Amino acid sequence: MDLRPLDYGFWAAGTILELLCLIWIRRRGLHRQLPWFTVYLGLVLTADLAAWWLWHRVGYTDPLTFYLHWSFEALLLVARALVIAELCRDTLAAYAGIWKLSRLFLLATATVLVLIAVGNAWGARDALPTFIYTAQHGLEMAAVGIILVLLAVCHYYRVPVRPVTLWIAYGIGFYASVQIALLTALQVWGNESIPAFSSIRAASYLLALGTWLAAVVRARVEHVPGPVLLPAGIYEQTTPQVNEQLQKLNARLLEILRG
Amino acid sequence: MSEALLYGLLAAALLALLTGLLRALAVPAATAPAPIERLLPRHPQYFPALRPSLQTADGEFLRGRLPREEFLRWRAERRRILRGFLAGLNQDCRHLTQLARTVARLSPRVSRRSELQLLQLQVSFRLLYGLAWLRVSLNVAALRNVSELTYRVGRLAAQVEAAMLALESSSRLRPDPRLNG
Repeated sequence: MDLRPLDYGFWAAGTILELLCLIWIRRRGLHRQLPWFTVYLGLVLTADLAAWWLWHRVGYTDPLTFYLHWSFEALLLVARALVIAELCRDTLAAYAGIWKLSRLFLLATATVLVLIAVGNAWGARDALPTFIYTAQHGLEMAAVGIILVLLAVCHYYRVPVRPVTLWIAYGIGFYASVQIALLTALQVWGNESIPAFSSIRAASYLLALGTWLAAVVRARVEHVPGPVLLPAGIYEQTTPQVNEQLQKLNARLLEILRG
Repeated sequence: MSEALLYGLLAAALLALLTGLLRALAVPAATAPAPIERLLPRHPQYFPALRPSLQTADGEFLRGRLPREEFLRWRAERRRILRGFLAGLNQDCRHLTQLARTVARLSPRVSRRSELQLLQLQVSFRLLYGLAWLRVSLNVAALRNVSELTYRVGRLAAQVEAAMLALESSSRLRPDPRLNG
């Protein structure tokens, strides 16, 4: 199987963007703030270079290429999960109350989606490619699901999200959403769709990388204190009152409706 | 094939949702919380002024005395004002729930039960409010209930005022400095 010039283009562009991202992360000092994201990008870069070497020196059909490719994919999947966890912690950890609350929802979402992915993949364990694609499909769904829950929590509680975190999360979510669509296409239309699949996948990854690069280039890191939290009594005093009054308002609205 | 279409639509929906949330979180308004005065209910205070002009007896009195065209215009205007007023009450409620969320955000401990209840109540309020708005638009005889709704919003404001003062005095509603990144 020969690579097309377009594939070389994607490969080169991806490697350059990953390198640039890492350089800017270092320049901005973001590696201290987002260590797992830095590690993830480093791993992607290593995987790209290793894939290049394997493809040209060892050969596409060699079992070594196969095992190393999927080992890297598994490693990258774990690293991406850690990046998502890091984004959640980086955004919400300063707000102790809602961090404790949302951690529960985030963990529940992750557990349910990962279990669904494992269940589906287990059902397709007879054929290795189907097993891999099914597992990947489910895990991409888990990634985008967790990011959506995180952003929804931030939106609901008006939690300020640093632009760099927001755009990294968006990049991951965007790439995962495209992957979901592509893996579905692959399962339905089979191997015939592989060339188009790999091109769209590479293009979406380049877009995600572009988003990350723009975010890290524009990021400003200052060591500033987090929010000052209120005494616990204020919450306990306010929220039940608001809830009680909302209940009464709803009862009144019901009366209006009943005439 | 239909499964592929379903997943394709799902992926598109996820992407749209993601983009929507990104846009909502990226707007500068999210970085600068509203002044505390803006969270106070403002509309209930206008109700006493509105009440005399909205009595149903007025309609009965005017019906036989005004030309039909003028009477219809008068009635349409009255409904427009009442709908605007209801929308104002809705806004007041939104501000109050925003306050509840702000308090939750800045609290070291948050009750899962209370938060879920607040969420459920907000959803119920939105639904009921929409229906009530429709009802009032069609039937101005619901004026008495509107008056009571106003009273409820006013009471809610009074009860959370202590919390607002605590928030204001500690100046904890300033923009989060972590946003610089």
